[in-house]
Formats: sequence, C-alpha cells, structure tokens
Amino acid sequence: MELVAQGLTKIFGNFKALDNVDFNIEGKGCYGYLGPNGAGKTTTMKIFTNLLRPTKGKALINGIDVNKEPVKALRYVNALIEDPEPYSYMQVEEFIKFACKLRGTQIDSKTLLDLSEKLKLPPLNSKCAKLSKGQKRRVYLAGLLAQNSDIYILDEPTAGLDPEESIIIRNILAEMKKEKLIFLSSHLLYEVTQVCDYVLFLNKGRIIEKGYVSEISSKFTSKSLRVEFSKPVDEQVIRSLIDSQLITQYKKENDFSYILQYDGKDETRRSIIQILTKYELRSFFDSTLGLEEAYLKLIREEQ
Amino acid sequence: MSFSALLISNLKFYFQTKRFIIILPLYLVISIIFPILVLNGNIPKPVDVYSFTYQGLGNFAAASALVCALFAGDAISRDFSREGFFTLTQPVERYKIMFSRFLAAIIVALVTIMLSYFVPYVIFSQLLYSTVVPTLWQIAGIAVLYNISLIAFAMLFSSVFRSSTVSIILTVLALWLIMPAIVGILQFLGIEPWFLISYAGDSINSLALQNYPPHISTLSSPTVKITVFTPYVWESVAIMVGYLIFSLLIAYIIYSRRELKVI
Repeated sequence: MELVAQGLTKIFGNFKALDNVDFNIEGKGCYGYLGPNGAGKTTTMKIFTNLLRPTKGKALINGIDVNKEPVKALRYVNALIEDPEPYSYMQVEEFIKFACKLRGTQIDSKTLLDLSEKLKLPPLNSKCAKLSKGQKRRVYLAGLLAQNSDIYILDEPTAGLDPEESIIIRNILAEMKKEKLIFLSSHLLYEVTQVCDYVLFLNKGRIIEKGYVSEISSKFTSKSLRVEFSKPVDEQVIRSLIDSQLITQYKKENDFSYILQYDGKDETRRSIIQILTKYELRSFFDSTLGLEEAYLKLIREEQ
Repeated sequence: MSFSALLISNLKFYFQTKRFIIILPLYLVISIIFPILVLNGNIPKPVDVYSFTYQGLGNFAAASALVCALFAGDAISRDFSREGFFTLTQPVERYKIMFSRFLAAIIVALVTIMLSYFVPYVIFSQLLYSTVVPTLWQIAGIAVLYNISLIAFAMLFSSVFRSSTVSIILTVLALWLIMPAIVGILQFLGIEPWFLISYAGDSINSLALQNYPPHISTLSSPTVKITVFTPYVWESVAIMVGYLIFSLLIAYIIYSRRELKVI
C-alpha cells in the first residue's frame, strides 16, 4: 500500500495548481492532506485517480503510474472526490452491488447488512435520487467499502454533512485505517486531528510541512505559553516583553489571559515567568492549540 | 463483467428516463395517426402498399434524428456531472464505458423506433393491403444502420460539450436544421451533398417506392430549375458507415483524453 508523488506539477493556463509536489506515504493508517481552499488538494487527488493528468511528474499507486496504466493502478484504489453521488436512477442496494460488479466481485447479503448497519444506510430499496445529501454520501461510501480496496483517497469526505453524519463517517475512517491506507484531504483540522496519524501541509501547490500529527503539533505549539492572571493586566506589560525580545508575539484571550509566542528556550521561558509573577500570575502552561496553531502558523509564514 | 454491468446499468438509466417514457408513446401516436385515418376512411387510401409505406416513413429520418440525439446526446457528457467521479475512478477502461453507453443508446433508440414505426407499419400494412413492401428488410436494415450512425454522431457532440443539455440541443439542431438546410442549398446549387448523413437517410423511404428514384432528377418550373439527388443505396450505406467510424473514433479520442477539471 503506497502512494508516491514525484515532482507532481499541474498547470491550468497561467495558474500553477501544483508545484513539484513530492511525497511518499505507505502502509496502513490515515494520512491527512491539509491546506486552505485552492491549495491543490483536490488537484492532487484527481491526478491520483486519473481524473486529471499532471503537467509534469508522476503519481504512483503501489509503484504503478496511474496516468499511464490507470486500470491497473485504480484496482487498488477507492476514491471519493469532490462531491460525488451514487447513480440517481439506482436503488441503494443496486448501487452497492453495481460497485462490486465493476470490480468483478460480489457482496453477500450479510456483508451488505453489516455495511448498512455500520453506515446507518437508508432502506436498501430506496431510490438514490430521493436521498438526502448525507444519505447519498453514506451510500456512496458503502459502495466504496463494498469494493474493499487497499487504498482510499477521500477528498473532504464530511464536507457539507451535519455533525451526526460527520461522526458516523469519522468513526468508519477510524476503523478503516487499521487495515487500509487512507489519504484524506480536509480543511477541518479537528477532523484531521481525530482521524489522521500523519499530515502533509499544502499551500499554493507546494508541500510546506509534513510529519506525524503529534510531532507537528508539538513542534509548533511548544513555543507557546498560556499565562493567566488573578486580576486584569495592562496589555503594556505584555507588550514590554516584545520590546525586551523575550516573546515574538502574543494573542490576548481576555483581560486575564494571553498566549505568548517565544523562541522555545527554557531560559526565555523562565525569564518570562519571572517577570509576570510580579503581576499576580495565577497559572502558566504550554499552549496546546495543536494542529490548528501549526496550520495557521504555516499558512501565515507562507504568506 | 464490468462491461455487462455497465451496459445493464445504462439500459436501466435510459429506460427510466422521462425522455423514453414520453417519446415512445408520442412517436407511437404520431406514426399511427396516418394509417388510422386511412383505415377510417378520413383520408384517401394510398393506391398501393408502396405509396402507403413511402408516406408512412415520410418523417422517419427526422424522428430518428431526434431519438438518437436524445438518447446519445448526453452519453459522454454525463461524466462531467457528479456521476463521473464514480465512473471514471473505477478500474475500467474508458472504451468499455463509452461502448456500453453506445450499445445501450442503440438498443433504446431501436426499441423506440421499432415499436413506434415498424411494428405499427407492418400491422397496418397487413390490415390495409394484406402484404408489406418486398424491400421491408432492406428498409429495416438501412434504418438500423442510420440510427446507429446517428447515435455515434450524437456521441461525438456529447464528447465535445460538457453540458448534457447543450450537447443534446446542438445535436438536434445539427440534424434537424443545419444539415437539412445545407442539403437544400446544395441541391439548389446542383451539388450532391454526399457528405451529409441526413442526405444518406433519404434512401430509407425511397426504398419503399416501387421504383427506386434515379440518382439525379430535375424539378423545373418556368423560373427555377432544381436538381434533386437521391443517394444510391450503396452510397447511403457508405456515408452512414463513414459517419459511424469517424464519429466513434473522434469521440473516443476526445473522451480518452478528457480531464475532469471542474463540474
């Protein structure tokens, strides 16, 4: 189970959607592909599913170039790209069975019922055209799960769904990643934190950071200190820390608490705390904003 | 396996469309009005089965054009809707997807045409004349080939345009308006429109005549002289086969290279 991008570049007219993207993800687990709208996430996924051809570079699925041998490569892949829907003229069961037939497999009634239960599918004889958006998404996902491939390429699978439906899908993903490779794009950082083990940050068509969720979170958040005072503190006190170059920036949460960015050194941390104790410092601890903070920092740095 | 699954799903798609549900009874009504009026004596009975067939098939070519445009006009452009995100990400060759739709469109178009034109024609021919024209099988054969070629031609339009509605409308316009207009202008100028499929379709009801019309004839009035071309049967077949091969080939080349950028 492996997805490899080698110098992937995609140009639409004058717009470079992907700029020499390289990554190699392998083995079971969930790999998050993060970035703001227009970063190139969907473009990458479309290239990996042969819906687009790269201007330059290669997209390899288990070592097979998907744009040169799509049929061979796509046998390993199930994809949910953009906002797909099951065929409107089919019934739920018919669509799931059809998805299997396309791969030359069949689904037995027990597996079908299990899937239906797990994904809380509407009645199997319902016409897909009459389903809600969330139901359609789950039926579509049921078709993919019934096909049972090794690799799942999922482009914002919970986009546009209500919270309950999103939870159902997230739970399924959490279970799937034990056996499969999931390549999941999202801009919902909460979702990525919950489901993914490894993340790749994409901005303006380039990979700007990659690593395990925990590593990246700590890498960016260990340099933040959340301080809380017993009584309101004049913001000038905090500003003076910038003047003395102990902190690089701060974020005011309210009159009592601030998040301070510093260079991460213990010595600096000690000095900050020493100064602030004079102002009835009640508590201080390393800020744990996690992936969201990392994401915002990365994007801002890029800008 | 995947081809038969695709074919069956496409047949289901077409047989459930409003297009099919509306057009079949509509065509049936249109095609039986004439024989019923003849049978009831509301209009004079044609002198023989040849004239009856010729008149009965008068609008066959136009009817075929509409059916083929409606059923194949969105055969490829459908993939540029949400359906394509599923279909095109499956490990199935695009030629299989395309040919399954081509075949499904042929079956649905032929079912429509046969049920609404040929079956009633044979029934009424037997009722009115106790016989059918001896060239019936030849007519049916050319009509089938004509429909298959029109479907291929409609698929070519469908491969070029992203919107199903646009491709259906443009195919109908091309077959109903533009081509017949060009045929008329060329005939007026004395040039044989051998490259137009609607011209090739003229041989279908010409075959119903007792004597197949001459290739070139002239209609003249004191002021105007118009040359009328009737395609040879072999010529019609050649034009239809040419359209079939050319359209399918180009449609496939476009389809196989087409990217799904935005919906």
